Amino acid sequence: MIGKSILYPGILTLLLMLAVPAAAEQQAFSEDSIAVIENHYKNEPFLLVMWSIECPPCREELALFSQLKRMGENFNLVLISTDHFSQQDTLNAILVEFGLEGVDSWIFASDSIEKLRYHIDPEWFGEMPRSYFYDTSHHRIAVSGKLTHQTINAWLKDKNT
Amino acid sequence: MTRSNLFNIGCRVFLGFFGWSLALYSGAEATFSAGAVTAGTVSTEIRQTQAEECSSLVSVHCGAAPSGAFDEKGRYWVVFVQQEYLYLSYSDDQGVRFSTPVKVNGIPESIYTDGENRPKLAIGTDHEIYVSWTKRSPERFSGDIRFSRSIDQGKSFSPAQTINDDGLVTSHRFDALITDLRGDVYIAWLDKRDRLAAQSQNNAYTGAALYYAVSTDKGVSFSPNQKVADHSCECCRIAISRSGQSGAAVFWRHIFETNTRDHAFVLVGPKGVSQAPQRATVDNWQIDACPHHGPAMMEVGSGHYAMAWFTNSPQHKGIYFGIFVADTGMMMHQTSLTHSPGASHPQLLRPHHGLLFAAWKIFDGKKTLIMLTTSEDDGINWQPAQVIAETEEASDHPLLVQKGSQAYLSWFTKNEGFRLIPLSIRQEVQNQ
Repeated sequence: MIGKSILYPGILTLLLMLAVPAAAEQQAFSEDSIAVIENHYKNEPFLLVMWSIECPPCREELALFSQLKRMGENFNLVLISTDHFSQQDTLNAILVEFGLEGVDSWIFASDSIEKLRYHIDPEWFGEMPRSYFYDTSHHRIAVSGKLTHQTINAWLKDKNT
Repeated sequence: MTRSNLFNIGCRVFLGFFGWSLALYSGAEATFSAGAVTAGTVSTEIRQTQAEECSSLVSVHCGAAPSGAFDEKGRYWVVFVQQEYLYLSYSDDQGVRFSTPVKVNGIPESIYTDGENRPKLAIGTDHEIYVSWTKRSPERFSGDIRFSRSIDQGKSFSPAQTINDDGLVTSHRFDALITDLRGDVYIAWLDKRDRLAAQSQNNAYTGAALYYAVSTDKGVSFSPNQKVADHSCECCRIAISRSGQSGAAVFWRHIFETNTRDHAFVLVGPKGVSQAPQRATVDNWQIDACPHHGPAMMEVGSGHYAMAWFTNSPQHKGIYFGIFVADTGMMMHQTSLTHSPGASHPQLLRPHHGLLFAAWKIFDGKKTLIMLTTSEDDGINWQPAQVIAETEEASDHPLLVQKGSQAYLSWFTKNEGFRLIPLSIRQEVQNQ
């Protein structure tokens, strides 16, 4: 059973995560969810990241997000796990471990992996981590592979100018 | 498709399901009809009933990641995972009916069943049935390579043994299994013992390592683990094939330089590496990520290996094919099989001399399709790809298997269950 988030994504900035209690929950990601996410952050930049429990570079990227959070960086982050929804507890534990329990977090709600991937991006073939930097107009830039501090800083600098 | 064909499929669905129900409730049937799940137009009502049946039924149609092979008598053997057990079943009618499944592991254990990391089955020279799989450990990214064999035609299996011999809790995963013509059994896998050692010394280590072990006594015992190469990619399946009369060829995604994830090739034998690892593909795909896309390979002649692989470099995108010549390290007849976005997980089969099949999976926005292309001159020229099977819900990776010179697509889908679909040069779509 997929738990429904009790948190409003609008308050889920990394800065404000400091104030929320340590309870990670994921929303169920279905074919319509990418539109819901994009609509929620309408006119706002955000970083969309696909990851998986079985992806070692994804853990390193979560550690980077954790570090940025401790540094007080403030940006909208959305995590989508492609794992089977039965692994929600494992996912929760990982997010808590990295102090990312308050992040706007989703998990694939169906085992039709290809279909859900296609709705995010038909060009994405499943490599992870896979990230999309959205600007305020929601033009997005796709990046395959582990993000670096420099890449995120460049985006943060750009979105703040 | 003609009206007549539609009618036939409808009858198969109905009669198949009826037969399945009979077998379920008779309680004494050793086999059941799989007809309900061989056609593509199973109704919602039947699918729901299947889900209910699967809660109490052990079946190749209910389990996960079925993988199999035909023996020389034409019997199809398949292993699949259900509820922490690996099961063996067989079919004597090309997948229409299956035998009552037999447990391989006596003690339940968590088993990896994703498309890239799934149980394997190989048949020995004296009708042994060899099985390998990766046991999931509670610690993250960790696992053990497991092996068992049956020497009584699948009636019973030896106690599962762990092949990795380091005693470490780390990642030993993505097993690949094959028997050679002498009857030796080879298992190769991705191993992080060296990464663990490096990290304990605060040294960086990229990726994993490729290890293998060989049994020269038909699976009774295995050699000490032997390292083939450092710095393999971590999350892609390994391709393994026979190599002449003795030994195995291994083809895997490797990390060259800092983060170039192309492929390497090696020959191994009973006494160690018989030809040093060499780079086989040069796409220059640089990515610090898990591609989750391993290659395919089969031997097509003395020292010649047909290969198919996925890449996404600026120069090369999609699924590629080539014939690798081990002695020279040259890739011949390299060509793109498809550039279509989403094309993935290629498979190769050479049912007889000169004829090659290549299949892969693709999602077209509504359905997942299996595409097939053929070459009648051993990979020099390829026919346009065509759809040979499809499904509207979740599906496993496609596999190609052969019975004598007849090739089959082996495909497990959520809606249709497990199917063996015969392939021909001019293929008819099986389920539209």
